[in-house]
Amino acid sequence: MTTGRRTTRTPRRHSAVHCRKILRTISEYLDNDLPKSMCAEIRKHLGACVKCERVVHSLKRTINLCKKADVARLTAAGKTRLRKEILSAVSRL
Amino acid sequence: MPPRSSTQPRDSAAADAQSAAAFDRLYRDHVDRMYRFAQRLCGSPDDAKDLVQETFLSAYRSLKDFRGESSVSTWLYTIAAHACQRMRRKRKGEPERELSLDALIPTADGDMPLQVPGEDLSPEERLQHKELRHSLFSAVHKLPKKYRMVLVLRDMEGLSAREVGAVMGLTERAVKSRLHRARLFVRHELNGQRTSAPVED
Repeated sequence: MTTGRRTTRTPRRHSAVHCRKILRTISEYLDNDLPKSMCAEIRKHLGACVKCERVVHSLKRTINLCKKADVARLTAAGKTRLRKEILSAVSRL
Repeated sequence: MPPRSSTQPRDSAAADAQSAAAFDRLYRDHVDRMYRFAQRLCGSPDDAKDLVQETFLSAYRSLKDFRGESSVSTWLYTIAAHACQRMRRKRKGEPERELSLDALIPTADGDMPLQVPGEDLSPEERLQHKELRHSLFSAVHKLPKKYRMVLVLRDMEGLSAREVGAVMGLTERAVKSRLHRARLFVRHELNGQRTSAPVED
């Protein structure tokens, strides 16, 4: 039996300060706005910190949800009515 | 893009006709985008229509001054952002609040699982998820307006941080700072957590 070296990985504890530092920059990380060296540092941290990884995953989903959240369109009649109202206001200028 | 004639109209009737034609083109090409933006920003269809009306009215007035230094849509977003501020001042709403980044960043132990559906739903199914969409817009409308404007322009309308800065008169740095806070706030709201903590006067 070998001594000294551990063969199983134990979860690393990450300092709250380091986690907060990472999470402060996470939007820029997701937008690809950070230098490569910082991205590598963040990737490394996320690979080892389940809690930060979970936050980042949920933030990414939130952003995707925003990107896909559509709203009702103005109907053709609504557009015509609104145009008339604008032109009527213009004529009073 | 509104036309810019190299020759001045010879009389006011010709100028009026030219303005009317340019306005019609502007309205036809951009009303859908502006209404969508206004709805995302204001929430209610009536407020959105008021904002669109204000926006195109201001655009009509300043059409002749538009020099094409930005895209037409960025120009219209800028007009809409100013119109929105004017409308807000008229209504004398609550003063703008600041969002505390420290309060929004989840603590290592206190994070909750997000209730947003995962990748197993198709985009269509996600869009049809009425309750989720309602929760999202409810969260977005709880944002103080200056944060909401950044989030809507960047994440919903798809403008770059630089374009959002141009629209709102902010540096790119300030846009990114507000955007991060706004995203964390919405994420926090969708998690079903209490909203009072991250807001500072």
